[in-house]
Amino acid sequence: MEEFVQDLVSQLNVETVFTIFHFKIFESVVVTWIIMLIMVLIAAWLGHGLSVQHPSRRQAAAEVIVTKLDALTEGMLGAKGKQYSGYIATVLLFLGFANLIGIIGLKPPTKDINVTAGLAIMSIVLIEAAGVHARGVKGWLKSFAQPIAIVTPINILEVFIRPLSLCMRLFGNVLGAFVIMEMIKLVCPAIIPAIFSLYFDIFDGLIQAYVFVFLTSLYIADATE
Amino acid sequence: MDTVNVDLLHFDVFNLICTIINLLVLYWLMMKFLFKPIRKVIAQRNAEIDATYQDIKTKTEEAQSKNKEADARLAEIEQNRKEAVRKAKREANEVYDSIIADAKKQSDEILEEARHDTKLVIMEEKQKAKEEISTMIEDASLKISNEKSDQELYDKFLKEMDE
Repeated sequence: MEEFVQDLVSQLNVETVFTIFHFKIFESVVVTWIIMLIMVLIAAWLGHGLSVQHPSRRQAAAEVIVTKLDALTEGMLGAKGKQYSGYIATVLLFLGFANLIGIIGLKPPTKDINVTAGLAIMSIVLIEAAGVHARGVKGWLKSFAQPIAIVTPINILEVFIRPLSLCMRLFGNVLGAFVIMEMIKLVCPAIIPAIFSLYFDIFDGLIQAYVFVFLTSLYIADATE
Repeated sequence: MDTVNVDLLHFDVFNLICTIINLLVLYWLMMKFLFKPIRKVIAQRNAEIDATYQDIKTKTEEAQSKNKEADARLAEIEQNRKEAVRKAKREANEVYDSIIADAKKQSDEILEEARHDTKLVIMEEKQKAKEEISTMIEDASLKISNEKSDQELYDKFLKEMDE
């Protein structure tokens, strides 16, 4: 039992991979780099040698992926938030990869609260920037007193609550799934983890990726309306 | 059991900033390598398709207008042809009439001439006959002077000739 707990704790801790000028680089950041490398390599492979009139199969697949992603993100963002679809699609793909990377034995970076916090901060910055861009500074400030002035404090609180909920939801779900999967693996290392992995790693991972970008898009659509 | 210290909510500003930078770099790279080129190609293709459709529309309209023009020209040519045929017929009729009239006139003249000539010939022949007859009469009278018994017979004969 003692051994089990120690093992679990070591799995849960975010380890420092290396240190640069007294700055500790966490393994979540290193795994993020690995995911970025994979994504960029795939993107570069899909996006090179394009032809307008004679698309290859690879290009056709790439066009389908981009078109579907754009349709999905633009549908969530609304007409005025269209321009942010590239970022939303990138985050969706990144979270998809990040949450699924547990399958190949790496620790999902979204298990580290610093990563989900970073994502949430980016989201709230984008949401408020989109609001300022769409309404102007005055309109953006006025939007805090809508629909009635009395909700202004709540609206201001929302600026902090929204990213916090985004951050904690993602972190909690991935961490929870990770803990359960580690426990199952420690109890029964064969076959059973594979079955549960289908739900906790693949299904829940993708759902959380979708929920994160869906909520971010919803907030952007709300801010730009 | 010992308490286990797991620092799950350990915020580290440096790693948080690293994550944000990672995201921005990833966004930039994904836009550069995937989204922008693919969107550009799709937009170009759509533009080409639109241009092709526009081109087809313009060409169809052009062809239709040319067709109309050709139809109008055909009708005009047909009109001209009919006019020309009508004119030619009219001219031909005129020429025909004048030729017929000339021919008639000429034939009348020829007939007249022929009649005149015939008359002359007849008169000549009459004259000749007269002369021959008178010669014959002279010859006969010479004979009669020889045979007086037939005097009355000759007189009667001459009377009949004059008539």
